[in-house]
Amino acid sequence: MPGVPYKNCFGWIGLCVLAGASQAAEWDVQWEGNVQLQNRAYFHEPAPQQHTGPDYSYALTPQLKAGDPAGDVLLTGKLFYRKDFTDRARTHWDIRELKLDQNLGDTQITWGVDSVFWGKTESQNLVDIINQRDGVEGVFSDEKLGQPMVRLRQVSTRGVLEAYYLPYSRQATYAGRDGRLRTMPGIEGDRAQYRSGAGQWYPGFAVRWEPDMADVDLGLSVFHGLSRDPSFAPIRHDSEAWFAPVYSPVTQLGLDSQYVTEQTLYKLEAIYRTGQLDLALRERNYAAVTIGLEHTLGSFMGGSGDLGLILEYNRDGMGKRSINPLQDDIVLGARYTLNDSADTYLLATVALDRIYASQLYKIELTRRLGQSLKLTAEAFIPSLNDDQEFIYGYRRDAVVTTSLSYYW
Amino acid sequence: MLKHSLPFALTLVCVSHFAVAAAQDSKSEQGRLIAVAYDQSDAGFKDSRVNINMVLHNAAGESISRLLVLNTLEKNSADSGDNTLVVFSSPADVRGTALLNHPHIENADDQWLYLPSIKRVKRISTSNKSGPFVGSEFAFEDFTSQEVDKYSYEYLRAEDLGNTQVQVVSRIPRDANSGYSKQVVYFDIKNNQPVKIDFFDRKQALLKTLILSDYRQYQGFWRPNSQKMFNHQTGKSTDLLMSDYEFGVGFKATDFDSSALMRLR
Repeated sequence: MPGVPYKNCFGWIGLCVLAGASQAAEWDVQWEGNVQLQNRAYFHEPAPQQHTGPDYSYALTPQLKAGDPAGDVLLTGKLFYRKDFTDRARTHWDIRELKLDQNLGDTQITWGVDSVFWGKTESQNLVDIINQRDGVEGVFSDEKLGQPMVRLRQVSTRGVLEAYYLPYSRQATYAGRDGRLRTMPGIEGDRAQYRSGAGQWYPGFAVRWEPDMADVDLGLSVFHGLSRDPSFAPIRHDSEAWFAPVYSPVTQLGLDSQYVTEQTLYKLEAIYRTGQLDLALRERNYAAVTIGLEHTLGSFMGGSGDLGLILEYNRDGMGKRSINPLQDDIVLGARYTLNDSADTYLLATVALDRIYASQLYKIELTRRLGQSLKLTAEAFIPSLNDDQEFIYGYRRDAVVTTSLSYYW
Repeated sequence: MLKHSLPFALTLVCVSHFAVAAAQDSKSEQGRLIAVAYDQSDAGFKDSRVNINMVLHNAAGESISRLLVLNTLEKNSADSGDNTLVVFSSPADVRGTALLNHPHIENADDQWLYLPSIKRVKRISTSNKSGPFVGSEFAFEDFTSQEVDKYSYEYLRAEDLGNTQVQVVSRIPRDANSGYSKQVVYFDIKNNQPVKIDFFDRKQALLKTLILSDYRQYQGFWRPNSQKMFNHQTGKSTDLLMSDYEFGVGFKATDFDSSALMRLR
């Protein structure tokens, strides 16, 4: 289990505090959460050191919300635990949320651990830099680790202004020795190295401004702190080759925007970042962009569903040395929403890499069974042909992940 | 003015044509006035909040239920309708999911969806007004606010619907994206509220019937406590059962901004 010191006991203490607070009279308290069973079935045999056969795991996500009667204070706790029976590195805990939201009219203050989403595009969100990714949870997905913060949010008719203080940075999670869906050699997330004396306590700051405009959605952001995208240094561990993540302080300017018409959303995300380490562990100043559109065909083929077509292009100024797999990639996608009582939803995407001629296919199907169960099936099929590509180790890892979740 | 210089026969044709046109105008005007009376009966409500239990029945008799809160902020402008915010509390996997709608008379509505699991506010395309609202027999366009100028009207007749005296008005959506060719609305003479609506699809066939019942007055404003939509073509139906209507909640415009979705509790 990765050694983030505060996360185990404090989570439970926090939930107990919340439970205590919730006994105060008239507080509106909600216990929520879900439990999930998951299976990962692989199409091909793995590399020798990896586990052969399917992976089984389960996950728990208890959540407690307690609001005061006046609606000015909200306490939220949300914990996450996954037990993976194959990959010890994937068995992990996290505090997804543990926070106090104070509502002071047009100003809101958040103290504690929270998760933040910034961005507009579908293939990735370049500007989205507040939270570290919980990489073992999905396959190139955006599951996030809770981020400690103090956030000030000011809302007016002119727009929304947010300021963040981020005292501590989380370490990204990676599959372990037995696990699949990883690079070769693997990455040991808890042997991270830092290009700053303060390590994980290197303070982060961010400001975001979203002006209120009619047909254009715009977000402008500035961030300074540890990069959420580490580079990797070769290390030896038990006389095996591994990578250690290397984090460096970066400054990022971000722009995300969207132009809205009746059927089509035109999207753009762009960043300029200084101090980022590339795959050769050199500090780089670079720009990256995602541009594209999402076109919706309502009542597709005369049915009740909507078909959304996604076309995006990703370009990263570091090219082959980028830590981001989408260096020069076209992403095509189709999203079919059935608008039925089971909220059935199908999403298929492919990322076409123009540098390495590789392809990553993903298909995701979600539907509710009855009132409280949700079934999700996700297929990931990589086609990787160039051993120079950093994610070449995934080439045998075509997989179908099936998850059944019970919500209460 | 032309009439004086034209031959008698032509004059007669013109007059009769004008008479028919005038009669049609008056029927259309009469229908519109009833719709305006309905709209006026609601003027000045400012804002409201109501809990809704949405029960979806399929043709086999199975049903599932969705619980939601509908917040409404009255808008008194010529080009936009009342803002609505729907927040789901059940089924549990969509708890906290919210849908914000800013309707416009001429232009397409603005809509945002909030996904609490990833804390993302997502703009959504509004072209599919005729699509079902979360799997129910209500279309998006049935669920958003009904503004007078979204339709053209024709007065049909007065009749008795059970024990209720009603005026029957046909209304034709002006929006080419509407799923309906027309709607026939039965307004209660006593309080100007609709008690029944027949929806006709683009092929002029009867598609759905909505029965609005259990009207009660809250601070002077009439609201139905039950709405039942029956789909004649599929045999499926959806019931909306309202409870705890609240007026004068004190909502502000910023409570119906897209950024408000991130502040929902």
